[in-house]
Order: sequence, then C-alpha cells, then structure tokens
Amino acid sequence: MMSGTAIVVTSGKGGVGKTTAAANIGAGLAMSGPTVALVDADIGLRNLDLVLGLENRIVYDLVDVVEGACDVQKALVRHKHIDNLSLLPAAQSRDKTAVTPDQMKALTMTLRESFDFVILDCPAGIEQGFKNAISGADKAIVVTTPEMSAVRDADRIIGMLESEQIRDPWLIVNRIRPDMVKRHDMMNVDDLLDFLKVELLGVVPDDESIIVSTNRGVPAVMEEKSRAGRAFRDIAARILGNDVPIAAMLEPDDWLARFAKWLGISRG
Amino acid sequence: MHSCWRIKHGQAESAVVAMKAQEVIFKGTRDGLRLVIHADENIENLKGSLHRRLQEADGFYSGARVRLDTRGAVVPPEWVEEVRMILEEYGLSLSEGKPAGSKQQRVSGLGASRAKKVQNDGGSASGELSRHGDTILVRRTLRSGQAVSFDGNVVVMGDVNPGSEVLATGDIVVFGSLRGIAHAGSAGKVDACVVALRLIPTQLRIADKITRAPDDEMQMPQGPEVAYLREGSIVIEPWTTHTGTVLV
Repeated sequence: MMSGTAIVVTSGKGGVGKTTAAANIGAGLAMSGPTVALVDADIGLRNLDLVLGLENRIVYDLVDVVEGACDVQKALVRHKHIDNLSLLPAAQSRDKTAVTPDQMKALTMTLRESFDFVILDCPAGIEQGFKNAISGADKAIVVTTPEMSAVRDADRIIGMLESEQIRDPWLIVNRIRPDMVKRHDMMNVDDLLDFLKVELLGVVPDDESIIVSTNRGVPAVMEEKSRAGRAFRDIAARILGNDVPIAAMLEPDDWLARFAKWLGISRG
Repeated sequence: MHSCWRIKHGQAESAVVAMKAQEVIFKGTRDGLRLVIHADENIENLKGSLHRRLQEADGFYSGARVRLDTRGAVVPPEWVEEVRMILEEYGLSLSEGKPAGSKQQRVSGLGASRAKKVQNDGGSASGELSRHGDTILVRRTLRSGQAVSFDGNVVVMGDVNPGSEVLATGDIVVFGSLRGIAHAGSAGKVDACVVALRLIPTQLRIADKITRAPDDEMQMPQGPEVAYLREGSIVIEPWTTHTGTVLV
C-alpha cells in the first residue's frame, strides 16, 4: 500500500496563522480529492477543531491514542461537509510532555497508511511541542508574515528543520497587504525570499473574511469569494503538483475591487 | 567609496572570548547521557576541561554511551574525533546518530557521522563541512541560532543570517550575504579580515575590536567588501579597491 505524505505546518513565532493555514491547506487538499488527516499537535492549546467547526464532536484525542486508550480511527473526527477530511484533535487538559517524538512518529506512520496526506499543526516555539510535531514529517511548510520578527523566527525554524533532515521547506507568506508593499511600508515577497532562500508555496493576502470564517468554523477555502480562500486553494493545488502562478496575488487589488470599495460595496 | 564605523572603545571584548565557567557538562537525560560542549571554546580548552571532568568523576561514567550536544553549533569533524578519543580513554563511548532529547543538535550529529566519512574517504568535500589545511569550508547557509567556530580560516558558501555567528582565529570569507555576527582573528590576530559579497553584519569583530551596524538605515553595499583593522579601527572598503593592506 502506498504511504501518504506527512507535512508539518510550522512557524516558530506564534500568531502568524499556522492553525488557519493548516486547516485551509487540509481542507483545500481534501476538496480536490485526496484523503487528509489533520493532526493538532498543539497539545494543551488546541484550536484546530474550532477553526474546522468540530469542537463539539470530539470524544477522544491524540494523547488517548498515544497512551493506547483508544484506536486512532476512533479518535479521528470526520469533517461535517468534507467527507475525506478528518481531524485528530489535541488533548486540552494535558501539555506537550504528554507525548514523545517517537510516539508522534509512530502515530504519523499509522495515519500515513490510511491517508494520502497527514497535515500536522505545529505549536509555536522550538521546544518539545515543535520537536514532537516535526518528528514524523517528511516535508515542512513554514508560515511567516512580512514582519522582521516573524521572518527571523522562520529562519531559525528552517535551520532547525534542516538539522532534522527536513530539507527544502515550502514557505507561505501570510497577511500580505499589497497596498502597503506598494508604498514600501511592508517587506515585499522578493526581499523575504532573498533572505530565507526557500521555495515559495504561496502568498496569502490579509483578508478580513478569514477572521469571520475562522470564527464560524468554516475554512476560508470553502468560501468561493474569499481572497485568502482562493490563495489557499492555489496552495493546495501546488502541493498536488499543479503549476499555479503566484504573481496574481502579489498585485494590489484590481481596479474593479478598488472601485467597488470606493462605492462601499463589499466583495464578500 | 569608503565607510568607517566608529569603534566602541574600551568595550570589554574579553566577554566574547572569556572562559566559560564550564566548557563541558555531562547531562543526564531521559534518553541517556549527553555531553554538552561550548563550540565557541577552542579545542585545547575543551580537551583540558573534558579530561578534568572525567578525572573528577573518577570512573563514574565508565561504560556509558554519550551523545554529543553542541547546542546547535557546527563543529569541525576533528573535534568530534578528539572528543571521541578522550572519552574512549576513560572507558566511555560516543554514540552516533542524532543526539537524544534535544533535536536541534543534529548539526553536530551530522558532524559526528561525517567525521568518520571524511577519514574513510580521505577528506571528501561532498559534505556541508570540510576542512582543507587551516581552513574550513561551510557549504550551507547559517541560519539564526547556528554558529561555526574554527581555529583557522572559515569560508562560508551561503549566507550568514542574523542571529548566527562565525568565529575564526583567522580570516572569514562569506560567499553570500553576511548579516549575522562575524569575529575574525578571535585569538588576537590583528591582520585578520572579513570579506563578504554583501557585508551587512549585525556586528563585526576583528581581534579585540567590536563594531556594529549603524542604527539608522544602512546603504546596501554595491559589491563585495572587506573589513580589516587600520590604526586600531575597523574599516570597510569595497573589495575591488582593496590592495592587500592586510593580506600578505
């Protein structure tokens, strides 16, 4: 049986949109066909279930599985709208020391047998939780925002991933504001790539709608009109090997959008 | 074009090269015994401390397998061999592979496994770290948190990013952007220099002088530059006009 791919979504710095990215990448991939398991490795601070709107369906969690209290299939929560998307929630009443890297590795191996993709949502920081989350991954997606502090942390993380033999990570630049970039008030993607020297997987615009969709528990990829959602759909397509140009997202809003904004019409 | 950074006179450079209270520490972890070494120490000091520590332990560690922990720093393969030899002298053995518990130290784990390879291949340069005489070649980008320290010259084929550090008793050449910290001539060699394709370091140290990037926005250098000591101050000049004042 072909084994699936395990991808860890990480960043070093907190609050750059890791969990939102993991949820949207997972949902985006699943919407195009493959089976996806999303693993919330942020034990003690679980969020992924909220973003996916699955909080009230959790019975067992990752720590239960690792401790042998239940079977992994039993702990997986299927998404209510996307059939081939499942979540393995984190335990909320425990902390990062509840599991070891070896246990996480074994768990990831098990999941890879029954899913095409295993997406691991890594906690912020470089300690135990990070080490757990990356231990079973074959590929990493590093999420950053165009701020120096986030970029520095991304650099540190990329170095640590390399020393764990997870090479050539993909980069997602989240919360880009094309208007600010144009005014030179924000780092542009080229500067960022010149610094980090890694492959760009996607650029996600700063989009208010993502806050709304996150709160509603519906990943932005499911919303046809969301700009961030579109960016994540493109990212999922690129992970699947499709050649989707990135350039479009780097341009400021098209004139139509700006005109609509000027008229006070929201584009959703 | 010629820029000159003001030197912070009287800066306690000794802080940089000061002896650490404990150059080597044995640490018991859930996954076994770890030997923590400070990579910015010179190897002779390290060897001395290791001998001292093992003598103090009086056979306590005998028979133990030890994983080397360099706290994320890249150390030359020779160091690993030296450490291995001392450990074996006291009946300990160095285990190969990734250091337990602390995963960020795989860099040193790499060094450990490669040390053998270098010996076997008679010095293959295919790795990320290879030594040629008194010069070490680092074929990778040093990212935040990583450090290279070497008793000799260091050549980096890649960038040296902010938060990373290169320390050499000789010269430092960066074939890429130097944005982190570089300390050339760290043992006091005043004619040491730092050359980089893009020299925009956070801090530059040559022998016992320290200089830092200006607080206001810095101009991007137009090409490769060299930093060296002239009359006790660190000066930076474009590499093309550099006529070998410090090179012999």
